[in-house]
Amino acid sequence: MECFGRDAEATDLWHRFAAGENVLMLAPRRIGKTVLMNHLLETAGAHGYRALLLNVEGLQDEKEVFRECCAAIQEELSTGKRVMTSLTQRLNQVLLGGNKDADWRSALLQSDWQDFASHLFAHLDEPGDENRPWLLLVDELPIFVQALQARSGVEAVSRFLYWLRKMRQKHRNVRWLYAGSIGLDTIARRTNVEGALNDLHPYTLHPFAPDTATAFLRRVGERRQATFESEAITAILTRLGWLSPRYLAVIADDAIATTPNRIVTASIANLAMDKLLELDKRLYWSNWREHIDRNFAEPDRSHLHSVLQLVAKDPAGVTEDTLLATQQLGARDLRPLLDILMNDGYLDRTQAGRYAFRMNLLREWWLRYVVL
Amino acid sequence: MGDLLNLSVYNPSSLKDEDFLRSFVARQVVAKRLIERLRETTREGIATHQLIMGQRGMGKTSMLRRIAIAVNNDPALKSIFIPLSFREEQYNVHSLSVFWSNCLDALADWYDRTGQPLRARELDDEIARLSTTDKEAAHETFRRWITSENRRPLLLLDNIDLIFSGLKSEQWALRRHFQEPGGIVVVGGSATFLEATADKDAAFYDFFQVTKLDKLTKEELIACLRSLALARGHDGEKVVRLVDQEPARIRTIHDLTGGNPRTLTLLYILLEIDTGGDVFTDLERLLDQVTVLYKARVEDLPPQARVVLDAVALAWNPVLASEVAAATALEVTTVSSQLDRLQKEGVIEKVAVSKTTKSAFQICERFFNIWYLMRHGPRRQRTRLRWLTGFLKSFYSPDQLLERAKLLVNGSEDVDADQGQMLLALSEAIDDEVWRSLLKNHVRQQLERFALSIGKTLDEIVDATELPFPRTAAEWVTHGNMLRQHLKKSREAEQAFLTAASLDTGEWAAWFNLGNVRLGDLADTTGAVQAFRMAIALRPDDLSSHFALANSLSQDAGTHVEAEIQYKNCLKLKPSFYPAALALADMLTAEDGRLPEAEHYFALAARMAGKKDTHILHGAAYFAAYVLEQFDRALRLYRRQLTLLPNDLVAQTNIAVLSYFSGESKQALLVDEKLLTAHPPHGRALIEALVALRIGQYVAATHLPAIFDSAPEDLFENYQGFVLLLLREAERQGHGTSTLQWIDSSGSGDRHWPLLAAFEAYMGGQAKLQDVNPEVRSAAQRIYSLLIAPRRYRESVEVRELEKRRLFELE
Repeated sequence: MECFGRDAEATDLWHRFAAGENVLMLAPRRIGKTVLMNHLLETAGAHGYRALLLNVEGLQDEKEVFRECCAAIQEELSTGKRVMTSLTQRLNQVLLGGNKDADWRSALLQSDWQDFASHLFAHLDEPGDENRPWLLLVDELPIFVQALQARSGVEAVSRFLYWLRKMRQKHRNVRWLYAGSIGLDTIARRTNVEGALNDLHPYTLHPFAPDTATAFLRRVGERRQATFESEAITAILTRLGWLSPRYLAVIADDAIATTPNRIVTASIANLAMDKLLELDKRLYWSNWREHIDRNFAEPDRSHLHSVLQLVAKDPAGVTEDTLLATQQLGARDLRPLLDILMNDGYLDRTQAGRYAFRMNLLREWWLRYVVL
Repeated sequence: MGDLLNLSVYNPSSLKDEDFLRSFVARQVVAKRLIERLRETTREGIATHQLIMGQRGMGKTSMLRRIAIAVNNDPALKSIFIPLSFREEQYNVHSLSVFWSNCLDALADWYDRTGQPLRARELDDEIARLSTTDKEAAHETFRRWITSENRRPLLLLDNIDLIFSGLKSEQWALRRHFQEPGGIVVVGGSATFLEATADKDAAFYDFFQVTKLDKLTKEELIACLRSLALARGHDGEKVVRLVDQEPARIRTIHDLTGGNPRTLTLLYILLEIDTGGDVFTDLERLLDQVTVLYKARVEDLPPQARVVLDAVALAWNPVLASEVAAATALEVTTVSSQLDRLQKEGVIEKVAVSKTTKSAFQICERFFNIWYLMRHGPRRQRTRLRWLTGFLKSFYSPDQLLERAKLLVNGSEDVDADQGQMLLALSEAIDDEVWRSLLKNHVRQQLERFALSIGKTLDEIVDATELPFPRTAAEWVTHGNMLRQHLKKSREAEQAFLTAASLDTGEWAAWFNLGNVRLGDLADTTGAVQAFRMAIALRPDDLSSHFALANSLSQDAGTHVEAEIQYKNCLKLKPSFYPAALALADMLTAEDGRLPEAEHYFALAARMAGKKDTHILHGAAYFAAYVLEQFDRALRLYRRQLTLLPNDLVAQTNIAVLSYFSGESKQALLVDEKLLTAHPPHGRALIEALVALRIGQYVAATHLPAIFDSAPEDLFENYQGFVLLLLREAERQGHGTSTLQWIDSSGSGDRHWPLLAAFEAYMGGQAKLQDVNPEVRSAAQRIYSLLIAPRRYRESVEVRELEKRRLFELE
């Protein structure tokens, strides 16, 4: 997939990596972070890095993470196999008592994860013949951390995150980019491990600016031999609100598919957006509700739904006063929930100081399918 | 407590302004913020209206009063606003006309309070003349009067939700009034969700600036407690100390209050009264204070809501909807709907629990829950007990709890069912397991008595599972030991052991402990012997049983033969068991002709015991000095004693005295003064008499009065050796008769009759013992045996030597 409209972000990130920074990318879902990370993976060589992309969603414990990491290194086209071979030799000597028949999997199985991973990163830290540092792109780390907490408790989370920090401090030739669709910082705050992340540069991936979104739609049009009228683009940008590349692409595709003459008008664009709200398209939206239902325990879950319900009913958003008056929450408890909703991409604070849905379409969907 | 209840708890308006301000400690920052917002309101502009929200007890009513006082006391605010306060619940508002009438009444009250009675009367007259059919009349009148004051009415509307719900169809009209420039400014309070603000099409949507009164954090609670206590001056000092020195108890108090200022104030009262008093009584009085209010709150609810509330309150801990359904036999859907309603009304709140991702529910105002538990919970309710226990643990330190428990267990006050419940809670609050068990048993006994007195069984007044009762023989033995060791209730302990034995005749510990309590505490030697025999029958090879039996038998001269057998059994069972040898030696000392055997067993004990056993050394030294009159040997033993215990007064004194008898000290040296002053006067006199005898300066009439005149009856027990030595030496030195005569004639003989009789026999022959009555004769016989012991020992040694020589010659 083309990484459209993210040149500035990619350039900025490469500069940061070159300056020795490690990055925590805070990005609501459907904003294009995975596309960007894939782009970084593909262009790493050109920037003098070896890179791997690791999606840790679904993994259960620390050892699984490092197993996936090693597997990803092994698949790295330039030197990955060689690196793993030399790592295996190192592990044999240090951890396996010189057992020549064993490989890195055996070492992982037989040793403590911290021992294994310490050797792994020490190995990656060495420049070697290539003299190209490693860039590790880790996607959905917050989801893994949540799973780890559920399985092994807050202590395990603290241990893991602080240990990663230690590795970052120690092995400065290895660069890191962590990303996730729920805020790792929120989890860290809840579990009191914010100190483990304070060396990371928080990087916010924003939606497209209107110009970029316009250019994106036109590019989609070009590729599909279709044209978007200005009014159509305005309608899309206004009604979508929050210019997520993913949703822009879906709307654009649906609109083009609907038009009889490859010209997308405002009404066709609106029709396409109406269709996007229909039941058969729930896959585009249901994850927003699932995110709250899956990742938040009661009573936070109920409170988040209650806030969103109220906000959904007013296109202009609601004030904090109205929220306080109608929610069974004190100010102390309401603010963190609003932070979560803003952080996770649901709401934004308008210039008038009101809390409103970032995405109008999402508000419409929420009102139709979630609000009782 | 009356003065303490002046602390603003339920009716802030009943306090004078100064008292109220002193007690207003919890929400200073919020109050300041609200007052500052008022300052931003101009005389003519459009107002920003305030809404104060918070659960019951969080301080809304107090905040409204605080604002009223601030306006009255601040010239700038006073020049702009007329603060109008209303009764807490305006139930009568069903139309705008009624609302304006209430505003007129509030204005009249204001005139009264601000010293304008004529204006007040004038307004009252006008109110009375108001047309009941003209819906605008009240509003017009209010507008006219307010305009004449050239100030903005500041409506302090508590429970504004009641007003809005009474004005359903006129809310928009009311809003228009509130929006007039230069007009009304509202500060409202509400405990519940305001429908009128919820919907974007509702009249008061986006209308108010909202302040939520959150639960106090622990830090805020500590600050409030300290402020309250400091404001109370001397009376509050103990609470200040508690805050500073016992943070753990403060944390528990925070949990009990749920961060609710009203509950905090109530518990403060108890803290200040403190722990020396009967906190239960004070708690009861506090609960009485709140009953009217809380009862009304419950009765206001529809029936199904009351049922659900009951289940949630009695659970005390957070409870799931499904659990409430199970407890109430209502459908879950019905329960959920009622829970929702109660939540909206601010009665209950959702909380997280660890066992599930679902929400659980609990009562918002914790003291309301406490009241409900105490007033409506069945006494058998475990949660009630648990709350009381938690309450006690927060109010008493562990040492104080234990002290209370000891006082109660040793006391004799009767209890009723409620008091019994309190005592049970106290027992649960104690960490010490022994005292917990003792208190529970005490409570059980008390409650059994109470139940009987009202014709009920124990189970009918209390959950008997809360009162563990010894059931097995082993439990009865444990119970008996606790009674004996901790409460010194030997008779009850005996009963406990008997019960154990009756439950299980094979329970060795029951018989053994029965014997111990009879022998050690109840002077029942016969009973002890019976018990120990049973113990031995169950465990024939048990050393402790044999030894205990031997000790019992040795108390009576008539059973000395069997006692000797038993001591020897002990030595057969364990040859190194020197306490048996020592006890046997002691017993044989008093028996005629058996001193050599006594000596043998003393020596045996000394050999078996460790070289550092001071008890054996003492016994052996005493035997050598005062039974055998082997003074050199005795001195060696006492000196060895001093190497182990350099400050042993007994050894020091014996060495000082016996040095004269061994010939070490021949000169007229005085015993060290420091040593003498360590003894009581009669002891000192005895030592001086002994020394005087040895240096030839003894005079009966001079030395004896100081010994016998002030001596207690246990003179012989405490100074046995010295008395024996004195009497023997007096006889040896030719002062026997004068000594005897003095004791006889001085009256001391009456108090020390056995001693006198024994000495008389010592001087005039054993037959003299027949002249005294049998009761005295036994004790006199024993003393006599001791007096003649050295003589008999020498005779027996001579006899043995003679025998040996004869045998030698024969060979």
